[in-house]
Amino acid sequence: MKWIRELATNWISDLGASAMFAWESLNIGVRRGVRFGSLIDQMYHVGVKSLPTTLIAGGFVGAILAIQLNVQLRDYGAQAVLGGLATSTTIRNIGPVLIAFMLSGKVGAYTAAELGSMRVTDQMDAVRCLGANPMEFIVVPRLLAVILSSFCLLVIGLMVGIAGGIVISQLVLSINAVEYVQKIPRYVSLWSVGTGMAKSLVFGIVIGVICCYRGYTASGGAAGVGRAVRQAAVEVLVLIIVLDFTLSSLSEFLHAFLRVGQL
Amino acid sequence: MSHIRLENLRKSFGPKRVLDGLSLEVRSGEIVFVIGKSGTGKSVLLKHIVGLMQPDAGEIYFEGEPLCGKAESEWYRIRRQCGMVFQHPALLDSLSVLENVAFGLRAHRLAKSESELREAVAAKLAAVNLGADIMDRFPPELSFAVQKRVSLARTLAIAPDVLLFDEPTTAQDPVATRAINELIHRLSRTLGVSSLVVSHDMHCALAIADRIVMLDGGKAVAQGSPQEMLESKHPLVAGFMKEAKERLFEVD
Ligand SMILES: Nc1ncnc2c1ncn2[C@@H]1O[C@H](COP(=O)(O)OP(=O)(O)O)[C@@H](O)[C@H]1O
Ligand SMILES: [Mg+2]
Repeated sequence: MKWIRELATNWISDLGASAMFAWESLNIGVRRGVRFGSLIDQMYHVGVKSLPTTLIAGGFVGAILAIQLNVQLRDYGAQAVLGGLATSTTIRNIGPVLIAFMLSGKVGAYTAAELGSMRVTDQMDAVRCLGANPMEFIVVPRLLAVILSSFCLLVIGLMVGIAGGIVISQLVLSINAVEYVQKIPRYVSLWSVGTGMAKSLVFGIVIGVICCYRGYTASGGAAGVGRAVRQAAVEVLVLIIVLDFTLSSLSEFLHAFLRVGQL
Repeated sequence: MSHIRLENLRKSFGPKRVLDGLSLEVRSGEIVFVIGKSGTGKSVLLKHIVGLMQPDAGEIYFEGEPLCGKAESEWYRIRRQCGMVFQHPALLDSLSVLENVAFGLRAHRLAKSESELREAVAAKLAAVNLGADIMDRFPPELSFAVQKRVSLARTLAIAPDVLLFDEPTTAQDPVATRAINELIHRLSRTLGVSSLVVSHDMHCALAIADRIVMLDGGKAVAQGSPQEMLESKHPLVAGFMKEAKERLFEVD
């Protein structure tokens, strides 16, 4: 299967190039620092403006999980544990993945398109010609802003997701909110929360690095920007799913290994 | 002494050969116009001189110093001496006109104070026929032609010894076109700045060029003084000159 081998080779070399790009960004960020004003500016642009979408997505993820799990639990007469299960699933697995998917569309595609159009209209080269490094001046602040914003948005989205579950249980499933909430600490350990946070951070890094890299290396006019955005979107989505699986497995493994608390 | 010399430059993008053994020279204080059909690699040629693209073969000399294979840190110095005005305005949308024009001044630490910076920016804007009132506007609010002139002012601000212009007067109104041409001419004659100008405006070329070079198929196929080019028998050159000649006669 020649095409499979080609596909795999391409993917690996692209991943390698993205990793090099991330390494260079880190290097520049550490050596040269990041201008605070520029970072705040970018975080406002990519972060604050994505807040409404994140809130909607987060709330609905929590609500959907509560409704779905309720159907299954009702068959076993175990509705009492709904709060614990729905919350745990929201913050450990489905929540981070779905919200990250949404952010990759909103924050990621925006960043890839912006950097891509800067590239193909010679803005990156102009910065170089004027004696500055576009990586330092343009890319690194955006990359950091995307990572931080994505992480914050994911955490906010997860909290709203938990709230969504509570609200939907009370309003639609007639499960008392207090009872629902009381079950949460029994099923959601610090470990689960940590796993959710770790995933949020990793997904934020994936969105930032891939989208900045694709935008920065775009070429070939407006069509090239479109290509870069599409490629970034595909890569981010696939990587998020694969990493979700990897991190879940790793979390289970470490958990069993360390025997910290309960599920 | 020769400011810029390109020798046998070759560049391909994949299977597509864009520069195919191009040789070209711009001597000190000289104004050289490069003309040619769209897509013949005029912009690619300029990008090679400031190290934004590396040739597959050939060499570029700046003040006799070979440039190919230099590290990015050395290009910093060369780009300070050799300013580039891109075909796109290439302004940063998130910065005001003031900050855009001041970009190179800040990067090279050329201004001692903020007020000196503002003054320098205003002077450069005036040189391209723009008022200081534009300083606090942002590029997306401005027309393409005005953005392009701001971009010109931005490159002039670092006061390079050599200027590379990529279609500086395309889309400009007649008043701005005249101002830009006079500026190129003045910089060359009073400050000894050498200019390499890519342009489709034969009128300007005939008016201010010391030499005109015709690019085709990745090579310089004809070159000479404006007068020589006007009389050239080369079919492509004659085609380019025909329209300019007709307009000349109209004026006369
Ligand atoms: N970065 C690039 N990658 C691939 N092809 C390019 C690139 N830059 C320019 N080209 C190709 O080189 C040719 C010459 O382009 P250019 O120098 O912009 O022409 P022009 O003479 O109109 O300025 C075009 O066919 C263009 O498609
Ligand atoms: Mg061009």
